[in-house]
Amino acid sequence: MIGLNHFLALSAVLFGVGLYGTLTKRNAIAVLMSIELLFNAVNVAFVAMARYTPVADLAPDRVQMLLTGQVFALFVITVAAAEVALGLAIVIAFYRDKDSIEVTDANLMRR
Amino acid sequence: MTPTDIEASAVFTAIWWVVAGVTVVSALLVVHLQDLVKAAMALIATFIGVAALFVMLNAEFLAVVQVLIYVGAVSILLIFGILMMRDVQRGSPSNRLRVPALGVMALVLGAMVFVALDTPWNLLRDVPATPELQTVAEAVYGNSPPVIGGLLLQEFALPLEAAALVLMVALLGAIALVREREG
Repeated sequence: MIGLNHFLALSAVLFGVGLYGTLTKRNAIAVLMSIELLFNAVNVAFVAMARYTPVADLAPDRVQMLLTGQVFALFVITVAAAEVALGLAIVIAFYRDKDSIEVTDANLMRR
Repeated sequence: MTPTDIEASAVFTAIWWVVAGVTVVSALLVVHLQDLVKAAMALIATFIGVAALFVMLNAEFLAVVQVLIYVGAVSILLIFGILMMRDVQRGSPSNRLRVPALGVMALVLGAMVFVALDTPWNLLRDVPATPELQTVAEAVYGNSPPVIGGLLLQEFALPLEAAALVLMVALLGAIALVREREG
């Protein structure tokens, strides 16, 4: 039977794949896409936790708190949307300046 | 909440493995494919797989939000970004960090999978919920949008305002960053 640990393990695998992409990709947009994978992995964990919260020790008038994980996932989606808009704006500004979108070319602060 | 009959069925398990497989394989394709447009397509497949997982977790509202925002907005934005940069053809080679990154990933992944699988998450499940509480909980999961709305406007009112501020600042920042400078 599928339980919480299946979902958490899947979330961990997604997170690992996204982490690898974030660390190794040279193209800035590929890095952004890998970060989206990270956000999605975290969301899966949040929603799974919300689904498998034990009901027994909840006060009857606090049952709506069962969906806290889903609300957290909503906030993560909001931040992810803001992040991708800003990230793309930075990439476009960088591309105009350097004519490249490789993160290895972003060395202004190292000189 | 205790699993329902549907969740305990073999069909559910089979569907779960198919969805999980599609999600992980497309996530691997996102990282592996050199052509960024194809990688973006794989990313869309991952997003849809995660939306399917949300449906399987009784979070239909979030699944719809996921499709609207990720599949509808974020991936389109990324594809526009890819098409605007002319040197798409060079693909996305990996940098020199490949081997250490693989090590870091294996370490993090191993630790997280171990914790996820080894922790007895179901210990609290042994405490039986009263039938009334169980009914109320099923109603909460079955009709989640009003409950989520209530949570956002009562318990999470301050984070909601902060999220609005974050979105506005991000929007202004994005416009300020990409605007052509006059003169």
